Amino acid sequence: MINELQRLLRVPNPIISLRDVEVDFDGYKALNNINIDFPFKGVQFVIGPNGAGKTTILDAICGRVKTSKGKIIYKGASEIQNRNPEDIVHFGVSRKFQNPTIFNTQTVFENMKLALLIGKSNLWYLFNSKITKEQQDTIESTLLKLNLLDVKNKVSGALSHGQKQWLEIAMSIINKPELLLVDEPIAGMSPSERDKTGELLTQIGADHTVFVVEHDMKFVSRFSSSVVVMHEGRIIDRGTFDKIVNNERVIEIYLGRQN
Amino acid sequence: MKQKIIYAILIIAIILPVLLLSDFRLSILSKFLVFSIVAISVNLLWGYTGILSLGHGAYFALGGYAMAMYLKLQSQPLPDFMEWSGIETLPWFWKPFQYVPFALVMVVVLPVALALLVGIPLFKSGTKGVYFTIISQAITLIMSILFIGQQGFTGGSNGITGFKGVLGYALGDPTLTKILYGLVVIVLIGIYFISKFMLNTHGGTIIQAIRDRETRLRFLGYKTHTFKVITLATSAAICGIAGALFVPIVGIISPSIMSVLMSTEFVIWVAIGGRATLLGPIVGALTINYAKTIFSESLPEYWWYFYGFLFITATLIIPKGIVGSLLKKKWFKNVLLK
Repeated sequence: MINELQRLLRVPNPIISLRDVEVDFDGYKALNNINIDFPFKGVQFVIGPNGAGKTTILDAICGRVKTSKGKIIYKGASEIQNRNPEDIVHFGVSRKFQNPTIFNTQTVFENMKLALLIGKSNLWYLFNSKITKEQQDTIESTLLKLNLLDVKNKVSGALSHGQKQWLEIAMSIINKPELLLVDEPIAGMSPSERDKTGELLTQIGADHTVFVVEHDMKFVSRFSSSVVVMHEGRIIDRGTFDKIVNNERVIEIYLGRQN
Repeated sequence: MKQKIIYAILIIAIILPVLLLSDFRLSILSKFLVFSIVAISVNLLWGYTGILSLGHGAYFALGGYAMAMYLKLQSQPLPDFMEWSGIETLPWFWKPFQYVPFALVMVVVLPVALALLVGIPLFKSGTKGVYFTIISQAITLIMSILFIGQQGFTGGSNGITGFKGVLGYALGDPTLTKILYGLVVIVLIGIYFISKFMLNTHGGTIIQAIRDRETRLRFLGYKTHTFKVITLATSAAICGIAGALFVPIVGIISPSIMSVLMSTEFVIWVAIGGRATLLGPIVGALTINYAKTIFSESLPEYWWYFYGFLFITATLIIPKGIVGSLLKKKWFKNVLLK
């Protein structure tokens, strides 16, 4: 059983590998010996009851929390554990937070501009107030993907909750990251917004690795190809949704409690 | 057309005081305009980047001392306060200040150096909010104690004064008063437009994004601490220039300018004028200082009560400040922006 799980957690030629990763919050192990690989491309869902360590995995990868043990290896070459968030971003890791985290006083377009410009290596752009036609097109095509083109000149604080979430996703993908970390994207969304978000994540997953923490089982069952189940800082199972819902341990710790 | 009218009014408003005010009043107005420059520098950091400094007096003083050292050496080869302290030869670090270019460069370099010294370790280690504010306050306090203690080198608590003159004019000469007024106006307008330009660039958008949501910016990949250090240094440079202009107008620089109270006043001008607006700091500095002059001439003992009362009511009634509140009014926007 244990060996079977270890086999499931490995993939050949992974984009990112966690090796014996441990996160310690003053004695409480939020992550306990996590070992997992993620393949290039595809949407990977993570589920688990509250306190399972789902968000902490995202936080550890993107540098928001420090790991106390273990390694996080990016593309088999770079160790990125315990680096600054702003450095990890430049490896190609992007993070979408649970609550919409955008610049509320700026317009949608300016938000996108801020997200796009970090790709610039020449610092003279700081003294410039214009962007190129090409950059304008990149912003507009990304906004179009997320149905936000109509509101591009609106102050982003005035958007609906769903639109704010999409704006943050748009900001997260504009520089074409290889790994997108998404924390509960559909919380507070209407059913149609949920569908749209699910399709969108699937679409993004065709070219990038998308790592989604989600609570909503209906959503997971519809849009997941692979699901990881966590419990008390450990990984319990990995597989298709149909497979993991039939795992007795999973039913016991997670699904059983909900029903 | 409207723009031309605004410029015409502005030019009249600048020239009128020269014709109408006595030299004494004109000199006071120049001082207030210097304070407006200080307020712009505080607003750049607090209003636009969200970093509250209660220690800008230190940067102001460094600019002021650099200028005062030059003016003092023009008046006496060995400053009188050094003689009093038994120092017989000019210390090495005073010597280059007899040259104008060096002194003028130091007006900017000294405050910027202090800003880097403070900013790099603090921002790099992630010091934020009230912690930065308290430390900034401590630094101006340390500076003032240092300057008071080193009487032989700095003039102690009396500061540096007793200048013979500036630009060949005796201090208090009516022509000099007018020249200094003109100079301050030009510098103020220059700094106003430079900061307006800077805030409209991508760099300006980034520092405002730091104020709004620094975490997001970091997770987009920006090294936000670098931007904060740069903004602090820019703010310090502007404040230092203001300090240098202050000295020939007032004729003295002393450690009292580095008091915590003075630095707090800088912030109050910005708060009442309108935080994160371009005109706010100028309006705030002029209004408060004008009110202060009137009050201290008629009811000096009540000024501080009134000041406290004004600050509390202003933050309660017009949290966006004078200009911030006016900007919400349509007619004001029409006049100003169209």
